[in-house]
Amino acid sequence: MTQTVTKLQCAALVMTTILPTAVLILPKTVMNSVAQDAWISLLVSTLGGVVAAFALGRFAAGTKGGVPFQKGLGESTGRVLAALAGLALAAYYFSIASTALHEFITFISAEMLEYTPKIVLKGAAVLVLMYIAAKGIEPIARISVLLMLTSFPLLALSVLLTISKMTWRQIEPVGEHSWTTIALGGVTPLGWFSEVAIVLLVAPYMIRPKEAVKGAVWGVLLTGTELIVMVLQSLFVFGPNLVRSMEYSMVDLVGLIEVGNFVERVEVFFITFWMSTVFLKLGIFLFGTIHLLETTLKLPFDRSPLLLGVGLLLWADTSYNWPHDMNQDLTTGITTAMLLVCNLLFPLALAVLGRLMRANKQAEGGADA
Amino acid sequence: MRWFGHMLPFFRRSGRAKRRDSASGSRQGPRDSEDLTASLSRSLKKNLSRIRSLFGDSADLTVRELGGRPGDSEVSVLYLESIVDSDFVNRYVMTPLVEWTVGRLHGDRISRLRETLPVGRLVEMDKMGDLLTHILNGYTIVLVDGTPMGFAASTTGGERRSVEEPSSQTVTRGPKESFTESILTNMTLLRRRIKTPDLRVESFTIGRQTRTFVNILYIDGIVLEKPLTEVRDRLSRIDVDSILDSGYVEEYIQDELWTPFPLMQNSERPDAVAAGLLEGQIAIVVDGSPFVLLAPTTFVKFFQSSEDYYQRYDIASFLRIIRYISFLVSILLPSLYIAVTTFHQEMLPTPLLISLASQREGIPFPALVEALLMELTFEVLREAGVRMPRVVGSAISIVGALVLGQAAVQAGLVSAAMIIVVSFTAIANFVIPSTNMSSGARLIRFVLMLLAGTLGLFGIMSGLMVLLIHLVSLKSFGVPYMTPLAPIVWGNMKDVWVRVPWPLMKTRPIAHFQRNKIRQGNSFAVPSKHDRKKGEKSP
Repeated sequence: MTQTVTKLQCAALVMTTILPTAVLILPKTVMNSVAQDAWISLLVSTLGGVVAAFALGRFAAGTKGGVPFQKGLGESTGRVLAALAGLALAAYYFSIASTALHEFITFISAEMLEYTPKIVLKGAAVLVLMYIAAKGIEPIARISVLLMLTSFPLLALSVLLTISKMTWRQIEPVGEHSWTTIALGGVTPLGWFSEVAIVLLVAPYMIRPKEAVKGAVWGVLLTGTELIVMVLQSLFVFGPNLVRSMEYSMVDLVGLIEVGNFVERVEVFFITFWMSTVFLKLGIFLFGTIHLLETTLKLPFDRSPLLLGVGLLLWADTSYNWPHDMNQDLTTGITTAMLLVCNLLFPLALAVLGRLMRANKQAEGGADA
Repeated sequence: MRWFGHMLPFFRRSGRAKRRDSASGSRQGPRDSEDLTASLSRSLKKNLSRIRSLFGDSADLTVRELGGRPGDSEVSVLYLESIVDSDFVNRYVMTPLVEWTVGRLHGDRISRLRETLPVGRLVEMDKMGDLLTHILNGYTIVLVDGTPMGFAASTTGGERRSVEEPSSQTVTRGPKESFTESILTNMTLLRRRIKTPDLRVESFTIGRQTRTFVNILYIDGIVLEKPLTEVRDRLSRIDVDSILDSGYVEEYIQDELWTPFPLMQNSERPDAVAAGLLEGQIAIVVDGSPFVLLAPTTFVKFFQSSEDYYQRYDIASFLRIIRYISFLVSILLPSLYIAVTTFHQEMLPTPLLISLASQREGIPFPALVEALLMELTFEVLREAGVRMPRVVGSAISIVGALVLGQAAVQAGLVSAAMIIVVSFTAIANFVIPSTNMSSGARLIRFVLMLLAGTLGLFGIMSGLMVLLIHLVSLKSFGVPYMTPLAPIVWGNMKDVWVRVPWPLMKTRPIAHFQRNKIRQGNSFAVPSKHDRKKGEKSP
């Protein structure tokens, strides 16, 4: 395990893990709850995300550089618990990769390739993901930085090009909903922000693992900022009622952009850029699965057979495990709960347990002495 | 001039220079191994017999025995007539030796021999393997009876190509010299440009049969030790029959075999190699090849041309951006055309869509097949253009333009738009300064075309994602290939997308290469406003 990931790359990895799917789903789901106050909900959930990032970052920063997360966990909580945690997290990352891949291909199929069988698209995507996972976290981190740096000017450009279509009064009345409703509207985004837990796997690869806290917090802050800008942009252009009726408001928003009569229908370029971010996101999840299985099972062979097996399983799971396209309940209800439990509660419980066990051991050592 | 050439072995061995023979030792065949590691005998007769046997009485092996009857002489001179400068041998080796053999009874014979031969450097050796290497590289060997050592005088000659203009890396402004097949000439061209004792040369002999001289050059104090050690180690590990060109060495020592991207630069321009050395790169000069290798390298280096640094920074920067765009066009344009016309027609503005649709009406092939046919045709034409005798080269252009372009459109086999796409792609490919990189782009283009034809933009994006991951995971002698873009090194962006004016490039562009990062002081000819104000204030 070589330690090459920098703080900037860590922040970019966090952003890549959260943003690609959040950008499609969140505007609609948050506006469903709090309409024109969606941006306030997002602001609140971003602050919640920062707290989560800080907590998870602290836990991650405690790991030894060069020692995989699962192995480090074994040193504090014991082998059995660490093995169970490793397998559980691997299952979680696999499950979420499968869900996100299904969503991704459903979107591609609906927007771009409606006549191509989804199973073919999923097969092609899995091959790409296997290649990404095989190359490890370092290339993913490097490309994440490039995509992050590209996303800022692109976002600014899209705001600039849609500014003539914006109606500022669309967000009025500000704060119409109660604080409880606004806070509840922020629960779904918080689920997405909790994916900052990826920092637990990234920290051991960092040149200075202690910087995991800053990387995680900056990642959440940048993601939150971009999401708020996007939600405000959708609000100003379409208003809350229209956004709620749109499946993918960001795509429709970019679709409005026209320069003269020769640059139009740029949503395809947006989708193309977005596709690259989703590939990376899914690549991170598949890498997480492989990495956790590898370190937990201590397989006596190299990564390739495991990668092949998990890749095939992912293809089969994402192709045949969904009786129909996922509906809103599935993506917002169950997924949010799962995200919060697996990304936030479970790792924090492990951190507390590890600390208690260490304290217990120290007390025992002191008593023996 | 000739004297300078004969002095070159001295330079080659200066500094840390050592000759490393990767073709000796246990890797040789059973007979070779025994013969080549053996020491020279005190008996001249025995030595001559062994050398004759090793050469199998080759017709061009000349053995001249002096100071006695043949078979019982005191001194022998050996050389291969085909690769030495006979005039030089006669004048500076044979004549003094005859004089020496006359006066041999006076004083220490070997000291007198050293003093007698008026050659730049006399190499002494005691192994048969060393003797063979030198004789095969155009040296003249002197063996003295009763002495278990031989003396090699540099007398390399034979026919050589003169220094000409570069054929593959031409510039409108800048030096017009290019390397030749002679390692000595190439070393001369580099030494003339970098006149510092810090330019170090290390020599290797690689190839069991060809015993090719391979020199590595670097500037001590600028080069990093890690890549240098890597280059040395990898060259030492090459165990092969023949090295006939630097291309052989490149494939043996590059970090990754399975990649379409070149991981080492090659150049036939001495100025480009000198610039590389000054930026901390290591040059690998192979005898018999007019292309010198440079390592480590990065992706962006393949888009820099020597001319960028000779003409104004503004036009150089503009042209560099054009090159990056051309690279993208070269790999993406046909696949984008296929994807848009096959899967995403909604992307096109209506007038353009109608125009394309009317052109494609009646074309019997899908866009993918049409594009593949045209691209393959162009590749055939290109290959034919390279292989055909020059006198008929123009005929190929006419056949290509008229028959395969105009006629194919008129016959309704391909659309005019496709001809435009393929032609523009081909021209864009020629804009890339490095042939290696443009060849890689050609291969990638075909893969992306197939992906576009089957999965549209999704296929292209999948392919690009794999390509991007592949690119950022590549390394050249330990240096990340995509530096300074991924990982980002902000300080090194002055010579990536644009080339900033020379006075602003205070540091060497790629910090990963060298130790000594500062390359200039305050070189502004005109003081800045700030400096002028300071000057006015001071008494």
